[in-house]
Order: sequence, then C-alpha cells, then structure tokens
Amino acid sequence: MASPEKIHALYEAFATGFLGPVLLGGEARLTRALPPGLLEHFSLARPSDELLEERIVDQIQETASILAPAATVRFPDRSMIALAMAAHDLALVTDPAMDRTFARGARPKILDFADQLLEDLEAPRTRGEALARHAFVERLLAVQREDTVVKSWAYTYRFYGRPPPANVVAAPKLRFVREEKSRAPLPELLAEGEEADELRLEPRLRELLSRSPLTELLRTDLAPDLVFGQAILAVLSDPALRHGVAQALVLEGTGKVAQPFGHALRHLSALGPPPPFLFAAIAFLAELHVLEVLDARAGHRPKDEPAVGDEELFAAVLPALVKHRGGLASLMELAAPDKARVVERAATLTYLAGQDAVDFALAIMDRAAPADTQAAG
Amino acid sequence: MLERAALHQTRFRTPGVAPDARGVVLGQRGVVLFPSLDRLVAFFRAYGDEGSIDELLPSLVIRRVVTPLKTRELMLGVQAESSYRMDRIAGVAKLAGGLVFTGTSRHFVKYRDGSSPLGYDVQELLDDPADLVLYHDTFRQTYAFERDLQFRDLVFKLQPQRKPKAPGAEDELPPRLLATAEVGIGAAMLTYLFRWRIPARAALAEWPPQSAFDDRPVRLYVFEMSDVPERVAALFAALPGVHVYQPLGGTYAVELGHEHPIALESCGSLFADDALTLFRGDGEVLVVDPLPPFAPVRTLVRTNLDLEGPEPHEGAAAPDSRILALDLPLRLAPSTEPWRAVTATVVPLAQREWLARLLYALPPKTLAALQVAVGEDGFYLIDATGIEGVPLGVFHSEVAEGIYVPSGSAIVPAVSAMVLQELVRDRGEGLVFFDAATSIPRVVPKASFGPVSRRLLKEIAAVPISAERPSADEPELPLLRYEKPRRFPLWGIPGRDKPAKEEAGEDERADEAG
Repeated sequence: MASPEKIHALYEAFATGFLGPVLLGGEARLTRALPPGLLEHFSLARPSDELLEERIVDQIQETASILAPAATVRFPDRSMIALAMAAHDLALVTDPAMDRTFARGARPKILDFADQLLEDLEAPRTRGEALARHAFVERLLAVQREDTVVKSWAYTYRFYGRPPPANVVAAPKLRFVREEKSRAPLPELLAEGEEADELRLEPRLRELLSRSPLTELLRTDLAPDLVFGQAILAVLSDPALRHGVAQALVLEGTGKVAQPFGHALRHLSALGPPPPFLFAAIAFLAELHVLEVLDARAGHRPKDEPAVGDEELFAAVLPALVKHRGGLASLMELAAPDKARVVERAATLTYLAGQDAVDFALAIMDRAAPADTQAAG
Repeated sequence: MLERAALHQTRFRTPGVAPDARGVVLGQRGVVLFPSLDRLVAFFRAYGDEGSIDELLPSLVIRRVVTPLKTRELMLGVQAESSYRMDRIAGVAKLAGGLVFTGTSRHFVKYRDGSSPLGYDVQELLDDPADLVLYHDTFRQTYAFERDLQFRDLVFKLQPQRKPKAPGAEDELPPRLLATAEVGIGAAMLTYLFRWRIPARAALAEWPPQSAFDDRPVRLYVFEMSDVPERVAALFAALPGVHVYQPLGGTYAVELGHEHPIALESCGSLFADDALTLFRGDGEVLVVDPLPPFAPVRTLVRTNLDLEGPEPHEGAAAPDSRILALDLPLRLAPSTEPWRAVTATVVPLAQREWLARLLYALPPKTLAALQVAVGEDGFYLIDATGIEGVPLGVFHSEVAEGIYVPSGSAIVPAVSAMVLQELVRDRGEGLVFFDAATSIPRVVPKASFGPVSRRLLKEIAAVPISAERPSADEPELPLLRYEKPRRFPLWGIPGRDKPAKEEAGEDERADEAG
C-alpha cells in the first residue's frame, strides 16, 4: 500500500505543477503517471497553497460565467479532477523520451489509466459540473509544447518540451550557438505523427472532449462527426447553459457549426429518441437561429450562410419553427418587431435550404415535446 | 388540349365548372397568371383606374407559384361570382399580359375568349400531385404554391411616383392637406400656421423606438390643414423634415406631387378608419395608429403673452395681489433683435440626465465659471461669460442686472433697465427669470447659486453612471513541460496495484533521484 504522504506529495505536484498552470497559464509541469486509484484522494484534497486554490476557483468561475452567469462552480470537482488526471496521462505519453527501452512499455499502461478514468466519468449531473469540466478542457486545448533546436558549428540538439541544459547553450556568441524555438498545441501533438496513430491518441482526445459536452458544442472543429449524445442533451436541456452556448456560438458566426449540428440533428432524428430529447436539441438550434437574427441588429453578422448537405437541415430549423404549431411554438413568442425579423430571416432560409429540408425539420419538430408535457402526457 | 364548350353543354371534364345563365363556362373561382410582379402591379393599376379593387379584396389571393422546373410565376385568385366580373378581369388582365382561367379547387381551365365565346373544357385531366393545374389551349402546367403575398404589403411596398406636371397646367391644391413635421420644426409650423390664420389642427404621433439604441420614441407632428395657400404648401413641401400629403380618402394620403402606382381610392377598405396611412414620396409609409387627438393650432401656440387681445384679467386681480408685487403687467413678446448677453439657461427637470452627462463633459474652464441653482421646476445655470457651453434648456438674456428673459423675447412695455429693476422691487438679492409659458416670473435667491461642485453634480445626476470593472486579463497560454526522463516511468507510482517489494525498492530509488 502506498503511504498517504506519498500520494499527497504527488497531488501537490499535480495541482501546483499541472492543474494550476493549465488553468492560470504558465509552465504546466507533468509529473508521474496518475492511476485511477488516486482519484479518490485527489478529488478530496486541496492544494496547500491557499492562494493558488483561490485563483483556480476564480478562473473556473470566470470561464463559467461567460456561459452561465449565475452558476456557482465547486472546486475541487471530482469529474473535473478526473478529466485533468486523464489529460495529464495523455500528455505524458506525448513525451518522445518515453520511446526508450524499458520506458516504452509503460505507455499502453499509462493510456489504460487515462481510459479507465474517462470510462468511469458519467455525463455531468449539475450545471456547475458541466461548467467546471468545460473550464478545464477549454484551457487544456490551449496548452502548447515548446520545442527547442540548439545548433552550433559542431552539433544540433533537439529538446522536446524541455529547456536545453545550461551547458549546451552556454557562451552562445563564442560558440556560435543558435536556438530555434517552436510551439505545437497539445491537440496537434495528440493527432499527428506515427506515435500518435499507433497509440490512438486522437480518439482518446475525442473521448476526453466528449466528457465535456459544453466544450464539444463550442469546439466543433475538434469533433467533426458530432452527435447529440446523452451528455450534450443533458446540457442542452438546461435553459441557462443552452442560452450561454448559443450566445457564444452566435458571436463566432453559425456558418462553421451548420454542418456538424445539421449532422447531429439528422443522426439524433434517425435514432428515434424520446420527444424531450428532440425538444432540447431543436430548442438549442432554434435559439441559435433566433439569436443570430436578433444579434444581427446589434452588429454581429454571421460570417457566412449555410449552404448544402447537413447545413440545409440546420438552416431549415428556423423556417420550420415559424410554421410549427406544436409544443415548440412557445419559442416564437417574441415581441412583434423581433418576430417580424425572425420571420423575414426564416423566409430567406427557406429559400436557401429548400422546401424539402424545411418539411424534414418540421417532421422532426412534430415529434419533439418538452419534458414536462411528456410527463403530463 | 382544350375543346370549345358548346351551347347547352352541361357536362364538362373539368371539375367544378358549369355553364352560367349566359352559357359561359364558369367555376367558383377565377385565376389570373402573371409572369412577373410588374405585370401584376400593372393589372392592379389598370383595374383600380377602371373599377374598384375593393370588390375583389374579400376573396383576393395572391400567391407565388412554382412549376416543376422551378420557374416562378404569380397567381391572382378571386371569387368568380359572375361572367360579367370575369369578363372585366379578363379584359384588364389581357392588357397587363396575364392569362385568365376559371375553375373551382385545383383544376383551372382557360376562360372564354374570342375564339370560344362560351369557354373551354379539357380533353384530359392531369393527375399529377400539384397545388394548381392550369389548362390553356397552348399548354397545360402544374404548379406548387410557394408563398402568399398580401395585397396590403404590395400596396405598402410600392413607391409613389412623382406626378409630371402638364405644361401650362395649374395644379389645383385640394381643399384639405395633411403634413408631418419633425418635432424640432413642428412648433415653428404651429406658430406659422397660426400667424397666417390657416385653419389647421395638429396632433403629436408617436411610434416605439426603431431600435434598442434609441432612448426615446419616434415623434412627429401631424397637421391637418384646410384652404392652404399655394405658397404655404410649396414652402412646407420644400422644408427639410416636413412632408405635405394630399388626402385621397378619409384616412390615407400620398405626398403632394406624387401618386401611388395603384389607385388607392379603389382599395380604400385596406385602410383602417381609426388610423392614418401616409405614403411618402421616398417609399416610406407612415401608419399613425391609433390616431392621436387633434387640436386646433390656436390652442397650441405658446405666444399668448403677446396676443393683442383684450386684457384677460378684467380687474379681477388687484395690482397689489400680483406675485412679486409687479406694479405693471409686464409681458413677453417675440423680438427680432439679435440675442445679446445670453448668460443664463433654465433646464427643465426632464432634461436633468442630459445636464448631468453634459456637465461631466464640460471643459474645466467652463465648469469653473458655471453657477447653478437647483429649483423645484428645473435647473438655473448662469455664466457671466456666456452660456453657450451648455446647449440645453431655454436660453435667457440678461436685460437688467439680475433679470433674465428668454432669448428672442423682449419685455413689453419696453422699459429701461433701471425702471425694470425698480419695478421688480421685492426680489431682494434674487435673480428674476421670466418664462414664456407663464406670466409670473420666478425669483431664484442668489445664495442658492453655487459653483458646480462634485456634490451638486451628484445631486443632479438622476441615474448614477454605471461602470463595470474591466474584464481581467486573459491568462497566458499554458506551456507543457515534461519531467526528467525516468528509466522505468511506472515504478514507484502510489495507488497502483503493484507488489509491495517493487514499490518499496522504487521508492528508495525515487527518493535518491529526488
């Protein structure tokens, strides 16, 4: 049995060296591989540096408040810590130094740790949990590795994710030492290269991303085959989160999400889900459209118009909503001038998407119903 | 494709058609097909000039239809009622380039023409699934409905055209004219109309703000004038911000010198009786709904102080009962003299928020010279060097020491400054402000004036300016850093199921490395 002191020392190294810098910026130092057995301790422990804990809480709260201003986010949050541990283990295997004799065999085991941590992670149960996960994963995707190439007339050394030793770069003028630094983002490290393919790092990153539904909705560029899974639908069924995500996406323009969301809606519809699930998905897409129309007045113009394929289905949601007379009609209860703008936009989208797409979206909507009516029915 | 209907023929292949009393093949509805919107408008223009569109309106349907090859056309549908009506529609439609059909629900056959005076019947029905099937002697076509167009929208979207003047012809002005004016110029128009004794009534129309950034509703003066001289109408029409309209019916009008493409008189039922619809020459349509109350302009002009009428107080108020003990009924009259010594302004309470914002923006020099007193009815600001820096409220000129009258007005009788001071004896150390709205001047104690201090500004400011903390700096990007490479990366990791011996051995090694 490992002593609690050793476990806590590892926790300190993880919290102050990795978790803190990922959230707050700075040098995120990887420590030893983190097996799932440590999660129990890590999810209860607190860093000895109270200031660090306070800053972490502030940062999580700040990121969360961009999406849902009223939510309170707890720290430490067990699911966020589990995600951070899995991310730590994934990042660990990107170390080229692991590809050595004796060390090489450790990589599948470390990845097993990550897999197990992710497997045990369920869909978020509270708004705070979803936001905490998003706060971490969003920052994780911004992590970069700095690689240094040191060249002199005699040698060329490459240092991946480690600073070159002092003796290698000493007396640069005298020895004509040149340093070239480059940075690679973590998603790129996990997606590219033979090692990554061999170890199936990219699918694991997607797996990790899928545990944070908010990030998955906001970063559709990393999840091209997005589907509205249980976790995403759970998040979308919360009006505050749904609104926050819609608002964040509208600010960026809905052009790039048209294809993934259209695909996700088609996929969801094909599965024949219960009406409340469909309701959450349609309500989200409808809110995206309505916000886009109303925000256009405030100066946010969508960057491009949806055009073909799954995008047609996405575009058809708004015209279908305007024609819909069922449970989703409440989404169109807007002030008269706003409604006029929405209807006008719907006419444009009908033209773009075509009548078939609108009829299809209308058929999906007819099956959707909010959770309460379903319960009542 | 079509065969001619014969006299006394009673059975037709076209569903829903039957011969009427004259033997003309007629369905319950008539359909006119137009290739484009301008042809449709041309139809309404011609029909409106010829007859009344009102009779078509109850059953009028305009739809954009699309063929299977995705070409779009416009369909106008009306209740056929009789072959006389259909004849009239057909006559005008032919002029406008439309094709006329008759039928009842889905299948419409060509309406009668010169080749077949009793109409047509189809030889064979098309059973394609379509919203509309038209049978002509040269084609038969299926259509799907795309969307409905409202006739009202069509009328409102058409821009009135400038009416060409016939050479040498004198346009007679209609006896009644309507005009709208921006708020800034409306008051001046009131005075002008009153001065030239033009019978007129005015109302103030309001619309909700067009966007969230407008902090107040859109307001326009609406005038209804009678017997307007031509020069006045021309003057108003030439004024920026003023539009003069020629009423066509009781509640709708087109800007003077313009005419609507469609004869609006023939579709008067479009316009509600309790609203006013004004078509501007630039295409904008003002709908004043509900109609605000109109009042005669004579009741609205603010120059009652200088009216040359009988003395309103027929000795009812004794001179000694006048407030401020003015021995003479001093009155204000408009003056054409240039403004002099404009050193005070009276800002009404309604503008206090603007004043507060303005004071924050004033340069220190102006702010230092500015004296302000907060009265029950407004803010009194004086600046001995000139009040131009505060473009708010009613400017006052100092006509005698401590006596201010609204700029552009003069006190009548034109007494000298010294006499004036003597007349306003009871003012003590106060400053006297005359106001055009009331005949009683107000005295503001001199002691209540003070420099615009921070405390005073705070009192004035109705709404504290909200300020938010600037958002915190974006945290810098995290940078990944690997630890020192280990020969056996998994050895000594706590919490992992490993034999105790190995764990202990690696623990020692790890401690040594550390």
